[in-house]
Amino acid sequence: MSVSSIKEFETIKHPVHEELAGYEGAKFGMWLFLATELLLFGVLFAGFAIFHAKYPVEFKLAHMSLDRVMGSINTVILITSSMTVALAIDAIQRGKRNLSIWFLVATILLASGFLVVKYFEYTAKFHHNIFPGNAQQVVIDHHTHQYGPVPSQWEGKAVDKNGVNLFFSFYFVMTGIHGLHVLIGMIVLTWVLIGMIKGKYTHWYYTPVENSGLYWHLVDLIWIYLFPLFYLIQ
Amino acid sequence: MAHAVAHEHDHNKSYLEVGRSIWGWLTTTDHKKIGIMYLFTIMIYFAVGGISALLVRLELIAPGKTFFSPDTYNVLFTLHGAIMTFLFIVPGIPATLGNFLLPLMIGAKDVAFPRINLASYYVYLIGSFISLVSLLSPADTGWTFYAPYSMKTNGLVVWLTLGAFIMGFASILTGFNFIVTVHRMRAPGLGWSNLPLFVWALYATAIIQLLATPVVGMNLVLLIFERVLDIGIFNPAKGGDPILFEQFFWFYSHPVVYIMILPAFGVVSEILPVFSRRPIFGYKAIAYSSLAIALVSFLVWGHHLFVSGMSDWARYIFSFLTFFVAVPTAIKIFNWLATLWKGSLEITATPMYYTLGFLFMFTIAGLTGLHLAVLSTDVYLHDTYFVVAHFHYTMQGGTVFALIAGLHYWFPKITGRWYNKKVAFWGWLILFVGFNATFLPQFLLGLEGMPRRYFDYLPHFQTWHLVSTIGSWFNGLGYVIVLTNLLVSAFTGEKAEANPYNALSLEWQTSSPPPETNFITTPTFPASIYDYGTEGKEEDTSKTKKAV
Amino acid sequence: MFEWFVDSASTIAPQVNIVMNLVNFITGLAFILTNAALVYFIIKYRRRKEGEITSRIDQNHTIEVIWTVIPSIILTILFVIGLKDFRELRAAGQNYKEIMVSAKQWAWEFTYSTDSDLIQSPKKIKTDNVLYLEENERVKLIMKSKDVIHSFFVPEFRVKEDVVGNIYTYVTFTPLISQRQATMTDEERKAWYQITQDQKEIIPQVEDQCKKVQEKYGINLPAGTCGSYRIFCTEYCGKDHSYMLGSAVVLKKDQFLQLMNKLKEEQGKIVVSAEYGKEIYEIKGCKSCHSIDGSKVVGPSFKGIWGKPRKLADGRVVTVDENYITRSILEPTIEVAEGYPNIMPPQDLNEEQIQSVIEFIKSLNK
Repeated sequence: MSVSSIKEFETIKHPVHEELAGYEGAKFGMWLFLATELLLFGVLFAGFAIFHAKYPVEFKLAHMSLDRVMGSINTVILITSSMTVALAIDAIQRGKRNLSIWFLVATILLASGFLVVKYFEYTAKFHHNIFPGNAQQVVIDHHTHQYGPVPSQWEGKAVDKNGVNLFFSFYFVMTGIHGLHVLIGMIVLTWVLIGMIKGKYTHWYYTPVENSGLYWHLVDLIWIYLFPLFYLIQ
Repeated sequence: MAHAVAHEHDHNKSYLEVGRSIWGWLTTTDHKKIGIMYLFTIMIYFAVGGISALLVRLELIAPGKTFFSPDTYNVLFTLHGAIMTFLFIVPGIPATLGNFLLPLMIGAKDVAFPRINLASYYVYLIGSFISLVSLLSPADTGWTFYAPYSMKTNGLVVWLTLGAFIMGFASILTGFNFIVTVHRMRAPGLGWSNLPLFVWALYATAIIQLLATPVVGMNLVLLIFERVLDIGIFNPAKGGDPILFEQFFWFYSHPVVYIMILPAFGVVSEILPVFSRRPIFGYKAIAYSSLAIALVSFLVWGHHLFVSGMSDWARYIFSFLTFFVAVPTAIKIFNWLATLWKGSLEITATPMYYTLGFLFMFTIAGLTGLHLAVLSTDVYLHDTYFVVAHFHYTMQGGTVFALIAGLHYWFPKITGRWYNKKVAFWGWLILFVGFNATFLPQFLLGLEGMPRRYFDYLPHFQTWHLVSTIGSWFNGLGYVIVLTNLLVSAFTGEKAEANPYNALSLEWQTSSPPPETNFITTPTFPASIYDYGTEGKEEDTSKTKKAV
Repeated sequence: MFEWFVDSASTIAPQVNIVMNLVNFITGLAFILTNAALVYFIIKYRRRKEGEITSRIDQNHTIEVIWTVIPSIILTILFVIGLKDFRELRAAGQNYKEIMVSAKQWAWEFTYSTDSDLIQSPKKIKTDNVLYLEENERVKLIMKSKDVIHSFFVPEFRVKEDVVGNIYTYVTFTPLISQRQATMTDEERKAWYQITQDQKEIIPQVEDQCKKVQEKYGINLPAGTCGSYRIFCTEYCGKDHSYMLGSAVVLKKDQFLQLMNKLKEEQGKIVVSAEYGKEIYEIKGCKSCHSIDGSKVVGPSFKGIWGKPRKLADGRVVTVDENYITRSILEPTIEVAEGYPNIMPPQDLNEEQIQSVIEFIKSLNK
């Protein structure tokens, strides 16, 4: 069944189809869904803020264990992938299907890059006996990056092992759930890619591509908050 | 020259006559069928939750161990709460009546995202199965899962909370589906100021579903991580904060009670005008107060934490805000009473006497909320049977009775048939008496200081416990009669006409049951769908709106 | 009216009674007015024939404003009134005695201080499940939980607050001997404190503690010198939540001092014995999970285990001796018996108590 304009497509009297809501409706629905994701992560940010206030010394000490280089690489990867997905949408808006395919592939590859870096980060932590719920070690020296058991004092202040543990609990849970969203985003983008290859999307119908892009931007946005919170704040 | 070809979608067939196979139902994207599937499922869970309630009350018929051990009792009240909350009442009216009626009431052929609608049903169903896996080694945490107890206790708490988390997704999917539907799918000429109040109610509810659910979702995920990974966030021994769990939990669970009651208010607003032959009084006030309640509901969760160890200042603020949310609710009651004034009340109509009974029970529900909003009295009443009675009056006396009223009211529309009216009346009477007999004594128990979630109690509390247990048997019997009547009549009831009530809202302007695509021709709107009053009219305009 | 439901046994109780009665009155009035209107309309406007004339009036700004403003005013007044008494409920004031409350699954422990320092010392007087208070002396109960969330509630004092594990919470009040307690006849006392046979074994601490004080310590308590009120746990805390009860005993000054002296004496000469061990077993919550007749409840029974080998969950076999029992009390998660769940919380018993428990367990071998 072929149609020759968006208008005709949107008014097709086919009994039940997602297109009932139209392009605007679908986008609106996506934004509403993204609001729920913000609230989901909001709980974690709120929890982090509360424990940061309770254990300022321990959080400061523990955060030295996070590798800023890897964190920065991941930030660059995600920002670039947001750009590539935007370009993919732009390409299909202009009818350039092949270009869009390449940009989608690039986005997915960058996303897997993110997850690979994450894998190395996590395994490094495990190697140093830092597990969610059971962080036995921490970086005790900025300069040498030497790992040692959690000290009872640091920079003249008492250190509560619980505080260090809680930092890492938040680290693993927040970056882990974010990583899960990266994975979900990759799966969604792959599904869109397959559709793109099969020719489902054209310059007048690309709603799923755009909505997936929106989702991907949210995943990126959350990382933009996570990264400074964990890796940068002194 | 066109030959007569068998048309793929015969628009004159009712929705029940299309796609009749089981596969047809299971893969349907028709909002009406999805609503019915939700209805069957939640009703089965209602029965399971109801039986566990009867067993809880049975144990409490006398002090001491009557039938069960304390552990079994604790499991029973957990099951009752968890099943009734997550598997029955949260989907409740929106997933059943809401799904069926929303597109019909706005003149649309379906909701904005029909496939997501079907997905929400399966997400809910799978979530419910996952939570029921916990029955293999049932949780005894109470439906509120307070840490640290819920972190340490034996039992498949993770399965139960994971199931609740997944069902939360279904709630979110329904939420944004309804919001986009109301914004984008209204038939030409239907503005926001002419929307049926049930639609306003569903819209306000959807906002809450969207914004509150993720919070409890994440809270439960954190609880799961506590159990599985021992992360420590709620564990006092590891520097965590158990009260934080309560804060996150009630941030959702207070708004959720408005998810439960707002649609019920919507049903009442639809039924009263029809059976009073009066316009709804204060349309704007009711519509805006629904939105106001939805918004303010996010600001009062702390009233569940008045004796939790929270700061005193927080308690003052939450008490003040709690009074605030009482005002829009009171206004609705006055508006409904004014709708009855100078009307012609068909009090023998089943939906009408259910609704009138709702007004009685909801005044009790709402007013007893005040005892709990006042700080000094709440200190005494918190975690006593007074609270149990209050929330059963709102949830059962309010939401469940409204759901059943709505099922009776829209029964002809949904099934094309009538239920047995005599059986319906006796069922209602037994149910109404039984419900009040079960829960009125519990206010007295609360005033006497009887705590909640107690397996055993001191003998001087026995009198009211005994009355309450006996009441529960009639409460249960009432449901059996009422629901059996509806179920059997759905298949064998006498045929009903398209608009037996001469009602004005759009769902009545199509056949009973409706065709698959709801309307054969695009419906047109009367100036007001509540224009029932006859005074000063030459002709009763409601009488001229006959069905297609 | 609220007085019909529960005694008033603290200085704040009469004020809370007034607020409760006021709330009851206002809500009762609102209930009657709305439902009277409902019933009146049902009767007056019920349909008598088809085609009746009905009003088309669907709004009235004046009335709508009135019924918005008046309830708002009434509700604000209620808020303010509730707030005032609540602030008093929470204000300990300048002169008060502190009592430490420790809650655990499923027992209460009270530590009395003769001055206002909080430090737990073995010299302080401690009681289990029964709280002794001096009439007319303001107290502040400083509370913490050893495990899950509990809640301390004495209806007659009108106080309640959750007891949590991460911070200290408190209730504060000035206890009185209520009118009713002062004038109850023996018959009435018997009826009020009546509990079932099973309950007598499980929660003897809720029986008439005034009588107990007289019997156990030989202190003469004429009418009006003692009131005994129930303490309830009001936050679900597991299996024996409904058995986590106690008694708050209010005594007149003289009698209170006599009792405190007797307790000091008694606790000063704690003798390690199997009888004391049995007492510990009963009042500290051990009996909720361990039987003494061989049956499995939650943890292993204590019957006949002394000196015998025991298989642990990790495969090792240990002997049930002094060390094993001591470790099982202080650090139960390290050596879990095979076939039993690893859920026992560590118990805070002192040297004499642990030794007495050991004696008690030994005595169960017979």
